[in-house]
Amino acid sequence: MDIALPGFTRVTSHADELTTHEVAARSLAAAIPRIYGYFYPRVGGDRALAEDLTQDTMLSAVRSANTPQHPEEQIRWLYGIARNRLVDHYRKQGRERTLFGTRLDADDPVEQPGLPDLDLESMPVREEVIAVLAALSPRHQAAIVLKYFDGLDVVEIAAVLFLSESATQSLLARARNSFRSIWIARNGDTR
Amino acid sequence: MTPTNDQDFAQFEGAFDFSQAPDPTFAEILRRRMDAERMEKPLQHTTSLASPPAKTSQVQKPVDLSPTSRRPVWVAVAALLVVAIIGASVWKVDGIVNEGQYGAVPEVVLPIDASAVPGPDVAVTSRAIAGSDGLFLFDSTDDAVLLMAIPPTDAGPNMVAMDSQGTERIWEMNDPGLAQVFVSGNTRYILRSGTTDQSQWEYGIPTYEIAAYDVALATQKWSIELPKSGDRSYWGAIAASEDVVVATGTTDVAAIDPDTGSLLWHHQLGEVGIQRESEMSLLDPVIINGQVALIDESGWLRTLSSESGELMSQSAVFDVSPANVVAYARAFATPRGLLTMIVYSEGGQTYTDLKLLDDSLSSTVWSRQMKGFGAVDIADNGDIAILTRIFKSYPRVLKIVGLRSHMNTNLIWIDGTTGDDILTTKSISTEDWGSTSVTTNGTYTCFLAGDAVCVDRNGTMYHIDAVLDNRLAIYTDTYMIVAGQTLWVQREHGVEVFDLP
Repeated sequence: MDIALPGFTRVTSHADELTTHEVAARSLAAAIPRIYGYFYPRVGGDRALAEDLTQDTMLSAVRSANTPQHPEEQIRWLYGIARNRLVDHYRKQGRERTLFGTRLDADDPVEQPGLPDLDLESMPVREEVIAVLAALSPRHQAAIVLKYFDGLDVVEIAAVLFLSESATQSLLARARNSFRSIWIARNGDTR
Repeated sequence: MTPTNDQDFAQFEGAFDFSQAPDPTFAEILRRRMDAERMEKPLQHTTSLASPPAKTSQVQKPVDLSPTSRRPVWVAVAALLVVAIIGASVWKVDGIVNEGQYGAVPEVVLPIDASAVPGPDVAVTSRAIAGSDGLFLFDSTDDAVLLMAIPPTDAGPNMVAMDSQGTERIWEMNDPGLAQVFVSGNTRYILRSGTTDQSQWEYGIPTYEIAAYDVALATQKWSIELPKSGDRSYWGAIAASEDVVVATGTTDVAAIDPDTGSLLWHHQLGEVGIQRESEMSLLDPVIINGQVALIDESGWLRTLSSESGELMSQSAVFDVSPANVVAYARAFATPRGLLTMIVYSEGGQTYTDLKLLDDSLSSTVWSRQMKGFGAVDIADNGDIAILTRIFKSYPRVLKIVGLRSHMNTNLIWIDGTTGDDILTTKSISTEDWGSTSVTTNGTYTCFLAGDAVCVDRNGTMYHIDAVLDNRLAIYTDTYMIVAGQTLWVQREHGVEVFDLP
């Protein structure tokens, strides 16, 4: 039987000789590019950090007794672990910077014009978005990624970042403004 | 700032959910590790996802070279006899001899780069607690901008921002009321006394204000005068996050909106359940997980809501009688949780206790106790560097045969995750109190004990040749900080910068 694992790869034509657990383990390994691809843009293109978080996620998954057997269910479950790791990372970054200072990101109080329509199918454009994200503070990164990359709503973001809803709204507004400001500084106002 | 239209950001949804091949070597190593994990316990683990992952690296065993470690009694007796005979100090050596598990240690003498000395009107300080009189401050950003304050002078700047190599001044300013500085995001908050008329001091305390400056431009965003609640109300400590700026004084605590500079709330300490026997020291605020944490000299930790100032929790972290506390209790936000520390005396001996509390602040991850205290610094990765100092005195009869009272200093470099030693150094003896300072960035730890020495995580030591003349030792407040691969040392003529290997 030829088992196709939707979304990432085929395992083997001899999969019917494998145990269910072995199939699950192989499909876990096949998901490495998906998980790495999840982290890479969300940490501003920092490859080493994306690798660390990918490793952390995958090893946690292997150690878990609750690995889903169905591939689609498994990849959703992996994304859940990955998002938790990402949020942990943002929290830690936020704490470090709070204590010892942070990078100089453009947090211009002046309302910035909106972003132009971007061709996000284009790799250079995507890389530029990632580069702008990298220039944001960890809190701003977290706000943009969780809201606009991962589609969390304000209540969910407030819960994971330990903020009130109003503080989260304010953080999102500042994060958007910073992003726009840096985008314009790097690319000009191209609306 | 109020929420605005975000339609332009909606285009990002789903645009960054794509597979991306990582480095093949990394992927192969990870697959092997996953296989190894699976073969060891093939999907029958009881570990829940909530549990932390197993360690992926080994914490190095401590290099315990301290003379206070357990050694056979005859060794001590023999050493004492040798000292008595030759009239020399056992541990008095040129610099430090590392005889640890790493075998022969290469010693690197780092030259002074005279061209890198910023100038006579700049003095750098470290985040180290010991010896700080509250006027010397230091901070850095991860974009390698260093902020430095120097004692107020009649002329010239008392705060200078420089690049990490110490070669270019970014901006400078003179702020005569400077009391405290805290950097958060792209804003630098200064707590300062607003009254410059010295005659006012005879009739009461000055007013205090917090001002917010753009960190890169030295332009002021806003300022606010802090409320007074009596003749003994001094403000002196500050902390900030993106959501709140908190200041504490001898009798008060207050919060400011970082965006507008408006007062969010203000309470006297008694109103939030903090009764202090002495107002001589300040409670430094720490902002962690959206709460304001304050630890007092009795070892009680209280958290306040950053939105209202309302008391959220309180617990005794340390069981120490306030009468025995010789220095202070402090708390530091670290990537691993809240590190709490208290320095106290018992039976004539000074002790330092450390406890790392988890994110919920409800349970202890690890705790340590060590003899003595000199200075402490916390690296961005949570590593802790503590310099312990123990004064050693001898009976008169032994002084006659050559033994002199001296100070024994040990560096203890602690892994902030586990509480285990990364390494300790051999005890260093100095004949006087001298200066003490320690600084760590998780890669290097540098400290002062007569001379200046840096050590990396492998135990390799680097002797700073510039201080062999012992000039540093004559100053009571000498500070140093390591940032990246650069060590900054305050000298009488300014700051010297050393490139570490």
